[in-house]
Amino acid sequence: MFGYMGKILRVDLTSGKIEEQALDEKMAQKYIGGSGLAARIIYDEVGPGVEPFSPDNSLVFAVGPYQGTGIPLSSRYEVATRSPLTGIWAEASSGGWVGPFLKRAGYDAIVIKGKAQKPVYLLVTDAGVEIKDASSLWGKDAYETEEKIRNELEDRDVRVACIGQGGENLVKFAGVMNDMGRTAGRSGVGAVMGSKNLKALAVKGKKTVSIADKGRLSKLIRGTAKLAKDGPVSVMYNKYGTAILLDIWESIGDVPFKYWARGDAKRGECARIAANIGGAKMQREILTKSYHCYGCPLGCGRLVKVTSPAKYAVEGHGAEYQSSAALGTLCMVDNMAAIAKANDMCNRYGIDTIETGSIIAFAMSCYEKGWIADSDTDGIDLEWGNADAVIAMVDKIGKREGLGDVLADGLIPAAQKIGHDSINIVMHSKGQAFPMHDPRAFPGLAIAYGTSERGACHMHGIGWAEPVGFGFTSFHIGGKGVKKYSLEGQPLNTKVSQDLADVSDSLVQCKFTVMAFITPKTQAAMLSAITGQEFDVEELLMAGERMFNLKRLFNCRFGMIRKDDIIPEMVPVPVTGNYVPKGEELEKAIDEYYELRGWTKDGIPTAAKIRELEIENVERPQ
Amino acid sequence: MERMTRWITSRRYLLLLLEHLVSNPITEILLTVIIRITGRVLSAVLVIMRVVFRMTLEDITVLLMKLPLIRVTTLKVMTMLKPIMKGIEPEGLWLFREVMRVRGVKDVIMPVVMSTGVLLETLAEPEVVNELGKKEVEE
Repeated sequence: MFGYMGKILRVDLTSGKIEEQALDEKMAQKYIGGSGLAARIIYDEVGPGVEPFSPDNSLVFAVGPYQGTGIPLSSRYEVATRSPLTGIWAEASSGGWVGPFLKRAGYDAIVIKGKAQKPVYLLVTDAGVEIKDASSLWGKDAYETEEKIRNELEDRDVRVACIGQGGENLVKFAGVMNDMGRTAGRSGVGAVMGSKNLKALAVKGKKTVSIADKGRLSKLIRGTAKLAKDGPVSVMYNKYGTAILLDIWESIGDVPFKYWARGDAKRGECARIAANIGGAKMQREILTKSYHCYGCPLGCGRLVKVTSPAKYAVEGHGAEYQSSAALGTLCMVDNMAAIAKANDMCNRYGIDTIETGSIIAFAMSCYEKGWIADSDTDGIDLEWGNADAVIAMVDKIGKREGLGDVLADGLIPAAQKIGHDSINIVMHSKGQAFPMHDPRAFPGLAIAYGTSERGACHMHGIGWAEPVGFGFTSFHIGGKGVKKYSLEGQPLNTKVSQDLADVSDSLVQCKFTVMAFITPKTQAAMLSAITGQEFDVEELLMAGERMFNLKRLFNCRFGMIRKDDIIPEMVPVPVTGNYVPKGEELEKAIDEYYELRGWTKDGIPTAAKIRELEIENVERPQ
Repeated sequence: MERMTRWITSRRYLLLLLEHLVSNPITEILLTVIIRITGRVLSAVLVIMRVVFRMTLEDITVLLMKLPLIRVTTLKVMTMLKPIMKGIEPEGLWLFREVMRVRGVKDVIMPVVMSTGVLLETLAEPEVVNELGKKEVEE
């Protein structure tokens, strides 16, 4: 099988049984790999009675046909499971080095079930697979864990995906960490890993991936690598990192402030905060160097060093846009050094910065309204802008201490415990916090966040990117653009964008391919060169739609219905002309979206749509 | 051009001055008027093109891009802009931010920018990327 290693590794941590399973060629064709392959496996194995923390829940690490081929921006791997945060489909993706090493160890996916009796880690190399004792690693943070495993194996080249104390403590938004700061952060995949007593996955391999047409692929690789390295936008990202978005997008209303309740039309406090913690200031004051994921010519990663004040001293992976906004603007914190520290702590605990920042900002909102008292916070002053409070709360969440224990369960359970009217100010979809792009600035996000398979998500249905020119959706919807401050045209834009995103996550490629001008046509050409089978964009889009619908059917299994696709009403802010996507306008857009998807009025894929997409062995809720 | 960009971007005071000018209420009103007029003219031209030639701006862009060598050359030129893009200082970006804040700018610029996906997809078709890859090897 060109482009694949042809094997799935299955590990049962309860019995210690390890076995290999051949990758079904038809399955690979239909679901490509990565997220698509994981969706098929999880749909088949995780039935309605399987709770997220049950040993029967499957945790899948998957790569796709691009890993190990040298295609730029394809260093990633996918982790998927049933989410403890949302109760539905969970997937998260991370860059770094683990993805290509996992593939070169000889596997397209690793499926982990069961629960080990004591902490273990899984060593997967091209020489064999071993379940190893991790008792000495339990309680260590993610950075220490990586380092200790490398030392124990006396191998600096081994790559480690692991959990920190957050995952061990079942913080419901714990992620899987790798390469000292890269994160498969969302949906609580790290908590599921913790529930299985699995501290880490260590991978290494030198197997090569067989490619059908090396000559054709190498030309495409050289061309895209050149664009990824020297293209105008990638150069900016290399220089300033993704946090540069804070500097420039605050004025269009895309950056959220004060838990989604603030945004200045004119240059004011928000602009000052954004500039104080943005990529430009980071580059001038604390950046030591930029770094690249495996085989990536772009290099948006940041390494930073803060020496003073001593309480914020930190050296390592710097905050990217989502982390800077969640821990910064959302909490009204304007101290870049403090954000670097909070980000570092999140990485060490192995908890999602988006969810962590969001839930702290939510707590600050509750504190302001008097719904959380000083006695609840153990003396932490949750005033807006209090950087020390943010850091203290990260610590409490990671350790599940005091109020941190309440917040560690996620926004909805926390709001239910806090009570009062707090449930009505939670900005979420399906229990997962909004990422740091604002649906009031880019209305398509209201549909994308609402209908996303894993809860609010900016990587599936990239409505924030399309209107500023970083997307290819417009080409595939017949040139029909979308309008600012209107939901007109957005359902189609969102649908196509979500399908393309699922394709990208099954090839397992970084979403910044847009900056390397890797268009869907080029993706199809690359996949054709790798596999020796000709793919066109329509086929890729159909595969994307198939995966999206399969994930939807999985979510329907757990009772997801139309009301879960409607985002909460946001407050108007002047920066976006007080526009809010809501009410009848939003309901109509959802109707249109369902129609385009071939779903019923309740948001369930129709039998005809399932047949059209050739999704086999699925049940439809009646 | 590269030297000029470096000269401009190295003079932070100039950029800061421009940023403050943009934020000045009188300059802002002037800019709003200019932008609104430009927007109207652009819209009128586009309407005429749609009615008379049955073509959108995107159609024209795609047609232009299909001319021989245009796409490879455009991509090459874009990569040659690297030193200029690298030279852009934060103040230059903040200037952009402040311009976006001027009333009317978003209304005109964003719908145009929304169409760039079409441009990118046309520009970077696999055969063009191939060609660029081939040139890389030759060089």
